[in-house]
Parts: sequence; structure tokens; C-alpha cells
Amino acid sequence: MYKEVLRAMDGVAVFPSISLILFFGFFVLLISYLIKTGKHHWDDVANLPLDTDENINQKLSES
Amino acid sequence: MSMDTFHYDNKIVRNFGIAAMTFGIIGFIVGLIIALKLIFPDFLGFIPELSYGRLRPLHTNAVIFAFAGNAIFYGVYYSLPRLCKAPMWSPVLSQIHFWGWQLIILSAVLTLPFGITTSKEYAELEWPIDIAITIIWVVFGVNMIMTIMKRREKHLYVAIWFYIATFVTVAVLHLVNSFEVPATLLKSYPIYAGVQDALVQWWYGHNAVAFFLTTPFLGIMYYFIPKAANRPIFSYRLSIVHFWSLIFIYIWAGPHHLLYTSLPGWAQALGTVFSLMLIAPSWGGMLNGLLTLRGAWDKVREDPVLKFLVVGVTAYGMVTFEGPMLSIANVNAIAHYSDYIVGHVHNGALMWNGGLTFAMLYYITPKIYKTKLHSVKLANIHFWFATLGAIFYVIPMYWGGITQSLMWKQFTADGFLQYPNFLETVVQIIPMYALRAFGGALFIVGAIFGVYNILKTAMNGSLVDQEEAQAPALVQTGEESGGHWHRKLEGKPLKFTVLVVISILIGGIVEYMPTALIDSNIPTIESVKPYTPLEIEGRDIYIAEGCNNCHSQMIRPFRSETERYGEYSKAGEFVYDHPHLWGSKRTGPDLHRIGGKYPDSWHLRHMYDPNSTSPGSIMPAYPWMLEKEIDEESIPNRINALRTVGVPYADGYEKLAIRDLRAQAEQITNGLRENGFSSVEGIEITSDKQIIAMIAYLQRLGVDISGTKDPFEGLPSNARMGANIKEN
Repeated sequence: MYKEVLRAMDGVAVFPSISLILFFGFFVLLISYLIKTGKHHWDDVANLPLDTDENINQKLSES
Repeated sequence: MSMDTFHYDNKIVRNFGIAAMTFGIIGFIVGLIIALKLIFPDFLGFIPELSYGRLRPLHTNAVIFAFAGNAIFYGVYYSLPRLCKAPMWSPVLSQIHFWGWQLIILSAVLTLPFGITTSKEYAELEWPIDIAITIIWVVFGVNMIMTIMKRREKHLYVAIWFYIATFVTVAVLHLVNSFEVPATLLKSYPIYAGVQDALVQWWYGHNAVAFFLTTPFLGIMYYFIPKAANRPIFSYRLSIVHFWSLIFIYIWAGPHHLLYTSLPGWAQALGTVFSLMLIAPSWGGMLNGLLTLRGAWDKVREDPVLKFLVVGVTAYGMVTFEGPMLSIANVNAIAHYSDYIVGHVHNGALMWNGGLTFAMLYYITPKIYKTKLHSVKLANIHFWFATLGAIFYVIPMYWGGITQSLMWKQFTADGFLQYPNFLETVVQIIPMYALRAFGGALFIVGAIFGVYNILKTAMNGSLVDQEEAQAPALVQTGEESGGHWHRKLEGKPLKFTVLVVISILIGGIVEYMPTALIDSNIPTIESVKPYTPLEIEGRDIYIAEGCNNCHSQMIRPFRSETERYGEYSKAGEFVYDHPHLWGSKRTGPDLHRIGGKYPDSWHLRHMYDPNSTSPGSIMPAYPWMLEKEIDEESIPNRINALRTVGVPYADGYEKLAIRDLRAQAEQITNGLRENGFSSVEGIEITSDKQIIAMIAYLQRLGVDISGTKDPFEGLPSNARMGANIKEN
């Protein structure tokens, strides 16, 4: 049944090209977005693995 | 601010660590055994359960799913709770996951050596185990997703994205690749045939490498390199680009395993293009890992954890450079089917997966046992054994692979094959096989040092079973202001998971669907007919013995191959092949056109003792095929299952199948007797033995295309059923 559905589509072969263009579009937008956000915007998230319990306790006692 | 107190479960972490080490050592040793069998084919005698074809899938399954699998869970169960500042959601699910996974491994040990296999690479386990894998994988996923939902840290760190991608993609891959129809309790046939089966299999196989051996280990890299070096990842922004482009592109690259095969050209081209693109995210990730160590290289000199991490990530860089290069058609033409690929794989497996696993073991064990590593010196010795072992493994495989491949392709000035006898090209590289076994042995010795060191470390300390931790509860502050959507996305695990699913499905659907659905992709060949019952039995024995581990059934359209093997393989020839048996490695010659090439008696003698027909052959002997009986009883069930997956056996044929089987077996046996082969070395040849089915299958291979003989002609059912089969 589902074979019929796909067979009925005209130009099913352009789908790969569309996927590729979509991906490149997404990729370019993502990079331009990340450049815009700036490096330091992400510092806190990048430090998450280093944010151990000891560090948290330390921070809390300092504050 | 109020603080929640909670406990990390270190016991489950330790258990996964023990399992990884135990199955690692076992898997490596099985690898060494099969490496030795290529040098000494009679090593370990003629025990069917220990023959090369049955042990090779045991090795790959042990190292991928038992060693690397347990290592992944070891890393996830340690890092995920710490990144989420929450314990694993359900200790019960953690236990079910742990024991369920170990039982699956046990079931692999109890089936693969006994010839119970689907033959599909890295998915050899039969259907009941496939179901168990699905259940346990879902248990893991639920436990992981719920832990993420109950977290105390708003942002999901990049390592967690890779864990999420691993879970969802492996689930999709496993489900789609495991659509099969059971014939008996331990035998099934995939619903896909030939070209489609090959495409699905390598979509799965390639992405098993991507999402079982790469993405979880990238998550591990993103957590453990910053931890071990005590500095944040080089570029968080790069990790965002790395993640999305890697998971989107990887899924497309599968067809590079099928270049020059009967797969439609456009699918091959897509596979190549995306494989080349893959170098960008792979190297982005690799550099992100290595550059994290800038300014900390002095630590690498002293810390074995960092040594293993650095060499592991470097090996990842080498392998992900090689991968795209090997996907270029004319490079692939040389490397494919050769030992080069075995070297390529082990470069990644030994140093990237093995290295990162041991780095984790050396990092986590002292932490959860609140002690110091027993011996840094011994860990350094382990490091050198592992590195040298990998070098001694990989380089001979590269050398041997290219040497043999060039010999396959060498013509004389007169235009004849210079090495028409395949065996000549095998004998040439046996010294390389010996060096490889030496390298593997070095790696194992190193691993044993490592395990000893870890055990001593554990014995020196005491396990902090439930590690107390504190963190403020997650306060829902509503939407973050500002337009930083990815940052917001990192706080929304479900939305994130949905986007991951979409990213990985696009490639699979676009690439696979047209091949499955458009007739013009697989031109049918009128004269290609289903297998006879005796040939089905022979084919199933071929699968059980794992012949496809060393023999391909796919002749590429090169003059060097058509001269050696015969006409190149056409897509339409495989329409009844459930599963496909194209293979991926030629330790022995291709068999697609073996039918009719030699007399039945040649196959009889060759299977009993390959050296009797091919002196110097490293093929194992299969003397038990002359004594083991054909499984007649399940033939009707197998015919029914094959009909269900689309092979056009007429209704009711299952009732006539055994008669056909016996009649064809008698014909072959009588033929052998007439030529003086009523017995071999005192073993009487009778028509109920496996060897007869094997001969029937081998003689059928690749002959249909000539259209000279109807395979059902002369069988009792032919008069009544033959017409129906043709009509279907």
C-alpha cells in the first residue's frame, strides 16, 4: 500500500537535494547565530562538568 | 537558598565497570584466537563451536556490545547524574538494565558459537534476543530521560546531547534492521531481500559505529577531558555545531559500504558525498577535545588518564580522516574487501573505544573508592602496551590489505591475471597476519595489567556505595529572556530529543525509501527463481557456519573481478536472498559465481579438507558436515516464513517441500557415487547429510542469470507447483 503512495509522488528523487539544501541552510544559520552570541555567553554552561559538589559548597560558603 | 541532599549510586557504576573489563578481556582473547586461526587453520582442532566463522561474530559482538556497551553505561551512569545533579531516576530500572544487558550477552555466547545467527553484521543475534535488546534499551532510555527530567541543573551539558542521540538513534536502527519473520524459535528471515537488505544492513551497520561507538564516546570525551584536565571544553560553540552536523550527516553515510555493488548509483553517490562532509564535524569534535588541553600538556606527560584520552581522541581523528577517504570510489575500489578495513576499524576500536574506556576506569575507580590509583607506573606501562599493540595490529593490516588488493588487480603484459589463484594472494600476507596477532597479544597483555591495577586500586580503598551530594532545587523561572534559542533548547529535553529524532530520520528516509519503493531501482531478471528446499537448507548452513565472514557474494564491475570470478553481480539476482549474503571481507574468494565452476566432488573434498583441493589454504575444514544431518523437520516452517517475507512459493508448497528436498539430495548423492565418491576417509556419503545441502546451494550460486536451467526441474513437485512458482 505505502509503495503506491511513494510511487505516486512526482520527482521523488529531488528529496535528497532538498534535504542537503535544508541542512546547509540550517548549518549556515547555526554558525552565524553562534558567532553572534559571542564566546563568553556560553562560559557558565561550558563549566558544568567542573561544577562539582565541592565547588558548589565552596561557592555557597563564600556567598 | 535551600539545598537538596541526594545520593549518587556508585555501585551500579562499579558493576558496569566490572562487566566492561570482564567482557573486554574475553572479547579480546576471542579476537586473538581467530587471529591465530588465520595463521594456523587447525588451531583448536575441528570443533564446530570454535570454528572461525562462528567465533568471529562472537568476537565482534563481545567487543562492541559487551565491552564498549558496558563501558558506555559505565560512563553514562557516572557522568549523567553528576551533570544533572540528580541520582539516576530509578535504581530498579538501573538494576534491570544492568542484569538484562548481561543476560543478552550471555545469550550471545550461548547462540553464536552454536550457529544460531542471522548473519547480518553486528546484528547477528536471533529474533528472541532482538526483542530482549529492545526491552532493555527502552529501560535504559526511560531511566536516562527521566533522570534528565528530574534534574537540578537547568542546562543540559553537551555530553548529555550525545547520550540522548545515542539512545534514540540506536533504538531506531535496531528496530528497522530487525524486522524479521520467525520460522522457528531460533531462526528467522528478514523481511528485506538482496539490495534492500544490504542497504538497511549497512545503514544499520555504519550507524552502529556512529551511534554506539562514536556518539556515546564523544559524550564521554566532552565530560572526562574537562574533568581530567580541570578546564572547560575548548569551545562550547564548536560543540553545538559539532553535535548537530555530526548526527545529521552520519546517518547518510552507510552506502559507502556498498560502493560498486548492485546498489543504485544515486544511493552510492549520496553515501560518498555525505561521508566526505563528515570529516568536518568529526575533526571539529576531535580538535575541540585536543585543544581543551592547551596549556595543560604538561599534565598529559604524567597522567595516564589524559594519555589514554589524548591518544584515543587522536586515533579518532585518524579514523575519521580515513573514513571519508575510503568512501571515495577509487580508493574504496582498492581497500574494500581487504584487511585494510580490518586495520581501519581496529585503529578506532583499540585506541578510541578501548583508550577512552580505560581512561574512564583509571579516572572513576579512585574517585568512587576514595583512594589513589594503585600504580601510575603500571598504568603507564599499560598505555605503552596498548599503543604499541595497536600499532603492531594496524600497520600490518594496512600493508597486507593493500598488498593483497593490488595482487588481485595485477594483470600480466598479455592481459591475464598475474595471480589467478586467489590462494597465492593469501599466502603472501600470512606474515602480516602473524604480526597482527602479535599486536593483538600486546594489547591484551596491557589490558590485563590495566585490570589488575584497577582491582588493586579498588582493594586499597572502599566503595562509597551511595555518594552524598547537595545542590539547590531547580527553580522554574519561566522563559529566559533574549533571543538565544539554543540556550533555551538546552533546558528543554523533550523538544531537544524530538529535534534529534527528526535530524536522524531525514537521511534514513530519503535514502532508503526510494530504493525500497521504486521498481526501476531493482530491475527484475526473469530467469531468477526462488531456492529449492535443499538449497534453503544449504543456505542456512552457510549462514550458521558464518561463511559470509570470509566470502563475499558480490562481484564488482571491474575487469580484475570479472576475469577472476565471472560476470559482475546484478541487483535483480538477489531478489529472493533473505538475508543478503554479500559479505564485507574477502579472506577467501568471492562465491557469487561459484555455481557450476567445480564438480560436486570438488566441494565434497574441499569442505572435508580444504588442503586436499587447495594446498596451503587457510580455510578451516568442515568435516562435521559429512556427519551432521539435514534439518528436514523445520523445512515447512521455513518455506512458510520465506513466503511471508515475499518469496513466491505457491500455497501448499510447504507440504511438498520435503519430498523435493529428498529427491534433489538423492540426485546429488547418486552423482557423487557414480564418480567414485561413496565415502570420504571412511565416512559414507548419504543423502541426509549437511554436505549435500551445502553442495546444492553452492552449485546454485550465480547460475540463474544464464537462464539455462529451471532449478525445480526434475523435482517431484515440478509438474504441479513449478508453474505456480513461475507465475508468482
